[in-house]
Amino acid sequence: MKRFLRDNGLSLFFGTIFLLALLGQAVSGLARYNQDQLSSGAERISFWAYVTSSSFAVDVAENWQSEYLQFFLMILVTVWLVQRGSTESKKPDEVGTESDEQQKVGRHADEDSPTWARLGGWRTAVYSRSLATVMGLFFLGSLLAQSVAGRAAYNAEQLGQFSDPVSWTGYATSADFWNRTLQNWQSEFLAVCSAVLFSIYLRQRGSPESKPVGAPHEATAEEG
Amino acid sequence: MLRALLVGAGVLALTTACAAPGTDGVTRAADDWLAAARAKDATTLCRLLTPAAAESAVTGDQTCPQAVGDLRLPGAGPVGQVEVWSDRAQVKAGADTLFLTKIDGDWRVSAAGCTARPGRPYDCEVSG
Repeated sequence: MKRFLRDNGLSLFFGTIFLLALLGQAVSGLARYNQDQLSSGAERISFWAYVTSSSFAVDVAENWQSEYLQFFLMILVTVWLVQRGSTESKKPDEVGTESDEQQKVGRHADEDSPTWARLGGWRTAVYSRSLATVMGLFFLGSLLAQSVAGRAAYNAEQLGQFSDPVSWTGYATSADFWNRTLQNWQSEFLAVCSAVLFSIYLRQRGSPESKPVGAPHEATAEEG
Repeated sequence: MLRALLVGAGVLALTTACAAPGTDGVTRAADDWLAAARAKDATTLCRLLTPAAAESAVTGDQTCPQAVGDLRLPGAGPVGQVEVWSDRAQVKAGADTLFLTKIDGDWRVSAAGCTARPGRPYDCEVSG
Protein backbone atom coordinates (compact mmCIF):
# COMPACT_ATOMS: atom_id res chain seq x y z
CA MET A 1 0.00 0.00 0.00
CA LYS A 2 2.78 2.40 1.02
CA ARG A 3 4.67 1.53 -2.14
CA PHE A 4 1.51 2.00 -4.27
CA LEU A 5 1.01 5.48 -2.79
CA ARG A 6 4.66 6.39 -3.42
CA ASP A 7 4.66 5.04 -7.01
CA ASN A 8 1.41 6.80 -7.91
CA GLY A 9 1.72 9.93 -5.78
CA LEU A 10 1.60 12.36 -8.69
CA SER A 11 -1.66 11.10 -10.21
CA LEU A 12 -3.23 10.54 -6.77
CA PHE A 13 -2.36 14.10 -5.70
CA PHE A 14 -3.76 15.72 -8.83
CA GLY A 15 -6.78 13.38 -8.89
CA THR A 16 -7.60 14.35 -5.30
CA ILE A 17 -7.21 18.09 -5.73
CA PHE A 18 -9.23 17.83 -8.97
CA LEU A 19 -12.15 16.29 -7.07
CA LEU A 20 -11.86 18.82 -4.23
CA ALA A 21 -11.78 21.72 -6.68
CA LEU A 22 -14.78 20.30 -8.57
CA LEU A 23 -16.68 20.02 -5.29
CA GLY A 24 -15.71 23.59 -4.38
CA GLN A 25 -16.87 24.76 -7.80
CA ALA A 26 -20.21 22.99 -7.28
CA VAL A 27 -20.76 24.51 -3.81
CA SER A 28 -19.79 28.06 -4.80
CA GLY A 29 -21.59 27.74 -8.15
CA LEU A 30 -24.81 26.68 -6.38
CA ALA A 31 -24.63 29.69 -4.07
CA ARG A 32 -24.18 32.08 -7.01
CA TYR A 33 -26.89 30.32 -9.07
CA ASN A 34 -29.41 30.54 -6.24
CA GLN A 35 -28.64 34.23 -5.71
CA ASP A 36 -29.40 34.84 -9.41
CA GLN A 37 -32.55 32.72 -9.15
CA LEU A 38 -33.90 34.74 -6.21
CA SER A 39 -33.16 38.08 -7.84
CA SER A 40 -34.98 37.03 -11.02
CA GLY A 41 -38.04 35.74 -9.14
CA ALA A 42 -37.32 32.04 -9.72
CA GLU A 43 -36.96 29.34 -7.05
CA ARG A 44 -33.78 28.07 -5.38
CA ILE A 45 -32.55 24.64 -6.44
CA SER A 46 -30.90 21.76 -4.54
CA PHE A 47 -27.24 20.72 -4.73
CA TRP A 48 -28.13 17.64 -6.79
CA ALA A 49 -30.31 19.68 -9.16
CA TYR A 50 -27.40 22.11 -9.63
CA VAL A 51 -24.69 19.50 -10.33
CA THR A 52 -26.96 17.88 -12.95
CA SER A 53 -27.90 21.24 -14.49
CA SER A 54 -26.76 22.65 -17.82
CA SER A 55 -25.36 25.67 -15.96
CA PHE A 56 -22.87 23.52 -14.00
CA ALA A 57 -22.13 21.30 -17.01
CA VAL A 58 -21.17 24.23 -19.26
CA ASP A 59 -18.91 25.74 -16.59
CA VAL A 60 -17.10 22.39 -16.21
CA ALA A 61 -16.93 21.56 -19.93
CA GLU A 62 -15.59 24.94 -21.04
CA ASN A 63 -12.57 24.50 -18.76
CA TRP A 64 -12.04 20.85 -19.69
CA GLN A 65 -12.00 21.52 -23.42
CA SER A 66 -9.39 24.25 -23.10
CA GLU A 67 -7.12 22.05 -20.95
CA TYR A 68 -7.32 19.16 -23.41
CA LEU A 69 -6.72 21.55 -26.30
CA GLN A 70 -3.62 22.85 -24.54
CA PHE A 71 -2.15 19.35 -24.08
CA PHE A 72 -3.23 18.23 -27.57
CA LEU A 73 -1.45 21.22 -29.15
CA MET A 74 1.60 20.89 -26.91
CA ILE A 75 1.99 17.19 -27.76
CA LEU A 76 1.54 17.73 -31.50
CA VAL A 77 3.29 21.06 -32.09
CA THR A 78 6.44 20.04 -30.18
CA VAL A 79 7.01 17.31 -32.79
CA TRP A 80 7.95 20.02 -35.29
CA LEU A 81 8.57 23.25 -33.36
CA VAL A 82 11.39 23.77 -30.87
CA GLN A 83 12.40 26.44 -28.37
CA ARG A 84 16.13 26.53 -27.84
CA GLY A 85 16.97 26.32 -24.14
CA SER A 86 13.50 25.15 -22.99
CA THR A 87 12.76 21.96 -21.07
CA GLU A 88 9.42 21.81 -22.91
CA SER A 89 11.21 21.38 -26.24
CA LYS A 90 13.30 18.67 -27.82
CA LYS A 91 16.69 19.40 -29.37
CA PRO A 92 16.59 21.44 -32.61
CA ASP A 93 18.23 18.63 -34.63
CA GLU A 94 15.49 16.15 -33.61
CA VAL A 95 12.63 18.00 -35.30
CA GLY A 96 10.01 15.70 -36.89
CA THR A 97 8.61 12.27 -36.08
CA GLU A 98 12.12 10.72 -35.87
CA SER A 99 13.33 7.34 -37.16
CA ASP A 100 11.89 3.92 -36.21
CA GLU A 101 15.17 3.20 -34.45
CA GLN A 102 14.93 6.33 -32.29
CA GLN A 103 11.28 5.56 -31.57
CA LYS A 104 11.92 1.84 -30.88
CA VAL A 105 9.13 0.57 -33.15
CA GLY A 106 8.80 -2.51 -35.40
CA ARG A 107 12.06 -4.45 -35.59
CA HIS A 108 13.78 -1.82 -33.43
CA ALA A 109 11.44 -2.46 -30.51
CA ASP A 110 12.82 -3.70 -27.18
CA GLU A 111 11.61 -6.85 -25.46
CA ASP A 112 9.59 -4.80 -23.01
CA SER A 113 8.17 -2.41 -25.63
CA PRO A 114 4.34 -2.24 -25.78
CA THR A 115 2.88 -4.94 -28.08
CA TRP A 116 1.43 -2.48 -30.59
CA ALA A 117 4.84 -0.77 -30.90
CA ARG A 118 6.41 -4.13 -31.86
CA LEU A 119 3.73 -5.41 -34.26
CA GLY A 120 4.22 -2.83 -37.04
CA GLY A 121 1.55 -1.96 -39.64
CA TRP A 122 -1.65 -0.12 -38.69
CA ARG A 123 -1.41 -1.03 -35.02
CA THR A 124 1.95 0.70 -34.63
CA ALA A 125 0.70 3.63 -36.75
CA VAL A 126 -2.33 4.05 -34.44
CA TYR A 127 -0.31 3.53 -31.25
CA SER A 128 2.31 6.04 -32.45
CA ARG A 129 -0.40 8.73 -32.45
CA SER A 130 -2.51 7.52 -29.54
CA LEU A 131 -1.57 10.23 -27.03
CA ALA A 132 -2.46 13.18 -29.28
CA THR A 133 -5.51 11.29 -30.62
CA VAL A 134 -6.98 10.70 -27.16
CA MET A 135 -6.26 14.29 -26.07
CA GLY A 136 -7.83 15.52 -29.31
CA LEU A 137 -10.93 13.36 -28.80
CA PHE A 138 -11.33 14.56 -25.21
CA PHE A 139 -11.01 18.14 -26.48
CA LEU A 140 -13.69 17.62 -29.14
CA GLY A 141 -15.95 15.74 -26.71
CA SER A 142 -15.67 18.49 -24.08
CA LEU A 143 -16.22 21.19 -26.72
CA LEU A 144 -19.36 19.39 -27.91
CA ALA A 145 -20.60 19.01 -24.31
CA GLN A 146 -19.91 22.73 -23.76
CA SER A 147 -21.94 23.66 -26.83
CA VAL A 148 -24.91 21.45 -25.84
CA ALA A 149 -24.94 22.40 -22.15
CA GLY A 150 -24.10 26.03 -22.97
CA ARG A 151 -27.08 26.22 -25.31
CA ALA A 152 -29.39 24.89 -22.58
CA ALA A 153 -28.08 27.37 -19.99
CA TYR A 154 -28.14 30.24 -22.51
CA ASN A 155 -31.71 29.45 -23.57
CA ALA A 156 -32.88 29.43 -19.93
CA GLU A 157 -31.34 32.92 -19.59
CA GLN A 158 -32.94 34.03 -22.87
CA LEU A 159 -36.40 32.94 -21.71
CA GLY A 160 -35.81 34.65 -18.34
CA GLN A 161 -35.22 37.88 -20.28
CA PHE A 162 -38.33 37.31 -22.47
CA SER A 163 -36.31 36.58 -25.60
CA ASP A 164 -36.42 33.66 -28.06
CA PRO A 165 -34.26 30.57 -27.45
CA VAL A 166 -31.61 29.74 -30.08
CA SER A 167 -30.77 26.60 -32.10
CA TRP A 168 -27.56 24.61 -31.53
CA THR A 169 -26.01 26.23 -34.62
CA GLY A 170 -27.15 29.63 -33.41
CA TYR A 171 -25.46 29.03 -30.06
CA ALA A 172 -22.26 27.53 -31.55
CA THR A 173 -21.80 30.75 -33.55
CA SER A 174 -22.91 33.08 -30.74
CA ALA A 175 -20.84 35.62 -28.82
CA ASP A 176 -21.62 33.75 -25.55
CA PHE A 177 -20.08 30.49 -26.83
CA TRP A 178 -16.97 32.11 -28.30
CA ASN A 179 -16.46 34.45 -25.36
CA ARG A 180 -16.53 31.49 -22.93
CA THR A 181 -14.21 29.53 -25.25
CA LEU A 182 -11.64 32.22 -26.04
CA GLN A 183 -11.31 33.47 -22.48
CA ASN A 184 -10.23 29.93 -21.55
CA TRP A 185 -7.99 29.45 -24.60
CA GLN A 186 -6.05 32.68 -24.07
CA SER A 187 -5.16 31.75 -20.49
CA GLU A 188 -4.03 28.25 -21.53
CA PHE A 189 -1.88 29.59 -24.35
CA LEU A 190 -0.32 32.18 -22.03
CA ALA A 191 0.46 29.48 -19.43
CA VAL A 192 2.13 27.23 -22.05
CA CYS A 193 4.12 30.12 -23.52
CA SER A 194 5.26 31.12 -20.01
CA ALA A 195 6.33 27.54 -19.17
CA VAL A 196 8.26 27.27 -22.46
CA LEU A 197 10.11 30.58 -21.94
CA PHE A 198 10.56 30.61 -18.14
CA SER A 199 12.18 27.15 -18.21
CA ILE A 200 15.04 28.58 -20.28
CA TYR A 201 16.23 30.93 -17.54
CA LEU A 202 14.63 29.79 -14.28
CA ARG A 203 15.18 26.59 -12.27
CA GLN A 204 13.35 24.47 -9.72
CA ARG A 205 15.80 22.14 -8.03
CA GLY A 206 14.72 18.50 -8.31
CA SER A 207 11.78 19.08 -10.65
CA PRO A 208 11.64 17.22 -13.99
CA GLU A 209 9.92 20.35 -15.35
CA SER A 210 13.21 22.23 -14.85
CA LYS A 211 16.79 21.77 -15.99
CA PRO A 212 19.40 21.02 -13.35
CA VAL A 213 20.14 24.26 -11.50
CA GLY A 214 23.64 24.49 -12.95
CA ALA A 215 22.65 23.71 -16.55
CA PRO A 216 23.36 26.51 -19.06
CA HIS A 217 20.49 28.57 -20.45
CA GLU A 218 21.26 27.29 -23.97
CA ALA A 219 20.83 23.62 -22.98
CA THR A 220 17.64 22.28 -24.60
CA ALA A 221 15.58 19.22 -23.53
CA GLU A 222 17.51 18.72 -20.31
CA GLU A 223 15.50 17.67 -17.28
CA GLY A 224 16.60 17.85 -13.66
CA MET B 1 -6.82 7.86 -14.70
CA LEU B 2 -8.07 7.45 -18.28
CA ARG B 3 -11.02 5.39 -17.06
CA ALA B 4 -11.90 8.09 -14.52
CA LEU B 5 -11.82 10.73 -17.25
CA LEU B 6 -14.01 8.62 -19.54
CA VAL B 7 -16.53 8.16 -16.72
CA GLY B 8 -16.41 11.92 -16.08
CA ALA B 9 -17.03 12.70 -19.75
CA GLY B 10 -19.91 10.19 -19.77
CA VAL B 11 -21.49 11.78 -16.69
CA LEU B 12 -21.11 15.21 -18.29
CA ALA B 13 -22.75 14.00 -21.51
CA LEU B 14 -25.63 12.37 -19.59
CA THR B 15 -26.08 15.50 -17.49
CA THR B 16 -26.28 17.55 -20.63
CA ALA B 17 -28.66 15.17 -22.36
CA CYS B 18 -30.98 15.02 -19.35
CA ALA B 19 -31.21 18.80 -18.93
CA ALA B 20 -34.47 19.29 -20.86
CA PRO B 21 -37.53 18.51 -18.69
CA GLY B 22 -41.04 17.58 -19.95
CA THR B 23 -43.58 20.01 -21.36
CA ASP B 24 -46.85 18.66 -19.88
CA GLY B 25 -46.97 21.04 -16.89
CA VAL B 26 -46.13 24.00 -19.12
CA THR B 27 -48.87 23.16 -21.63
CA ARG B 28 -51.41 22.72 -18.81
CA ALA B 29 -50.53 26.09 -17.25
CA ALA B 30 -50.66 27.82 -20.66
CA ASP B 31 -54.04 26.20 -21.43
CA ASP B 32 -55.39 27.42 -18.07
CA TRP B 33 -54.07 30.93 -18.77
CA LEU B 34 -55.53 31.12 -22.28
CA ALA B 35 -58.91 29.81 -21.09
CA ALA B 36 -58.98 32.40 -18.28
CA ALA B 37 -57.99 35.16 -20.71
CA ARG B 38 -60.81 34.18 -23.10
CA ALA B 39 -63.27 34.07 -20.17
CA LYS B 40 -61.86 37.39 -18.85
CA ASP B 41 -61.44 35.63 -15.49
CA ALA B 42 -59.06 38.14 -13.86
CA THR B 43 -58.92 36.29 -10.51
CA THR B 44 -57.63 33.11 -12.18
CA LEU B 45 -55.20 35.11 -14.32
CA CYS B 46 -53.75 36.68 -11.15
CA ARG B 47 -53.43 33.25 -9.53
CA LEU B 48 -51.49 31.99 -12.56
CA LEU B 49 -49.05 34.93 -12.61
CA THR B 50 -45.68 34.84 -10.85
CA PRO B 51 -45.56 37.16 -7.81
CA ALA B 52 -43.14 39.46 -9.66
CA ALA B 53 -45.40 39.69 -12.74
CA ALA B 54 -48.53 40.27 -10.60
CA GLU B 55 -46.70 43.03 -8.72
CA SER B 56 -45.53 44.71 -11.92
CA ALA B 57 -49.09 44.75 -13.32
CA VAL B 58 -50.47 46.77 -10.42
CA THR B 59 -50.32 50.57 -10.29
CA GLY B 60 -51.44 52.77 -7.39
CA ASP B 61 -54.21 51.33 -5.22
CA GLN B 62 -55.34 48.75 -7.80
CA THR B 63 -55.78 45.10 -6.86
CA CYS B 64 -54.26 42.50 -9.18
CA PRO B 65 -57.63 41.45 -10.71
CA GLN B 66 -58.46 45.12 -11.40
CA ALA B 67 -55.08 45.69 -13.06
CA VAL B 68 -55.17 42.48 -15.09
CA GLY B 69 -58.75 43.21 -16.16
CA ASP B 70 -57.49 46.35 -17.91
CA LEU B 71 -54.86 44.50 -19.95
CA ARG B 72 -55.29 43.54 -23.58
CA LEU B 73 -54.62 39.80 -23.36
CA PRO B 74 -55.47 38.05 -26.65
CA GLY B 75 -56.23 34.61 -25.18
CA ALA B 76 -55.66 33.28 -28.67
CA GLY B 77 -55.17 29.57 -28.85
CA PRO B 78 -54.63 26.74 -29.01
CA VAL B 79 -51.17 26.18 -27.52
CA GLY B 80 -48.64 25.83 -30.32
CA GLN B 81 -44.85 25.57 -30.02
CA VAL B 82 -43.55 24.95 -26.49
CA GLU B 83 -39.91 25.44 -25.47
CA VAL B 84 -38.74 24.40 -22.00
CA TRP B 85 -35.21 25.19 -20.80
CA SER B 86 -34.48 24.45 -17.16
CA ASP B 87 -37.12 26.25 -15.07
CA ARG B 88 -38.11 28.64 -17.88
CA ALA B 89 -40.53 28.10 -20.73
CA GLN B 90 -41.99 29.86 -23.75
CA VAL B 91 -45.36 29.05 -25.31
CA LYS B 92 -46.63 30.32 -28.66
CA ALA B 93 -50.43 30.54 -28.93
CA GLY B 94 -51.69 32.22 -32.06
CA ALA B 95 -50.48 35.82 -32.08
CA ASP B 96 -49.67 35.67 -28.36
CA THR B 97 -46.47 34.48 -26.73
CA LEU B 98 -46.30 33.51 -23.05
CA PHE B 99 -43.24 33.10 -20.84
CA LEU B 100 -43.44 30.84 -17.79
CA THR B 101 -41.28 30.19 -14.71
CA LYS B 102 -41.38 27.15 -12.43
CA ILE B 103 -42.05 28.18 -8.83
CA ASP B 104 -42.47 25.64 -5.99
CA GLY B 105 -43.01 22.89 -8.55
CA ASP B 106 -45.77 24.75 -10.47
CA TRP B 107 -45.49 26.60 -13.75
CA ARG B 108 -46.60 30.25 -13.45
CA VAL B 109 -46.85 32.93 -16.15
CA SER B 110 -44.04 35.49 -15.93
CA ALA B 111 -45.01 37.38 -19.11
CA ALA B 112 -48.08 37.40 -21.35
CA GLY B 113 -49.52 39.30 -24.28
CA CYS B 114 -46.03 39.40 -25.76
CA THR B 115 -45.14 40.41 -29.31
CA ALA B 116 -41.74 39.87 -30.91
CA ARG B 117 -39.34 42.76 -31.58
CA PRO B 118 -36.38 41.99 -33.89
CA GLY B 119 -33.10 41.89 -31.93
CA ARG B 120 -34.77 42.88 -28.65
CA PRO B 121 -36.77 41.15 -25.89
CA TYR B 122 -40.52 40.68 -26.48
CA ASP B 123 -42.83 43.59 -25.74
CA CYS B 124 -45.33 42.24 -23.17
CA GLU B 125 -48.62 43.45 -21.72
CA VAL B 126 -47.55 42.07 -18.35
CA SER B 127 -44.08 40.86 -17.32
CA GLY B 128 -41.98 40.48 -14.20
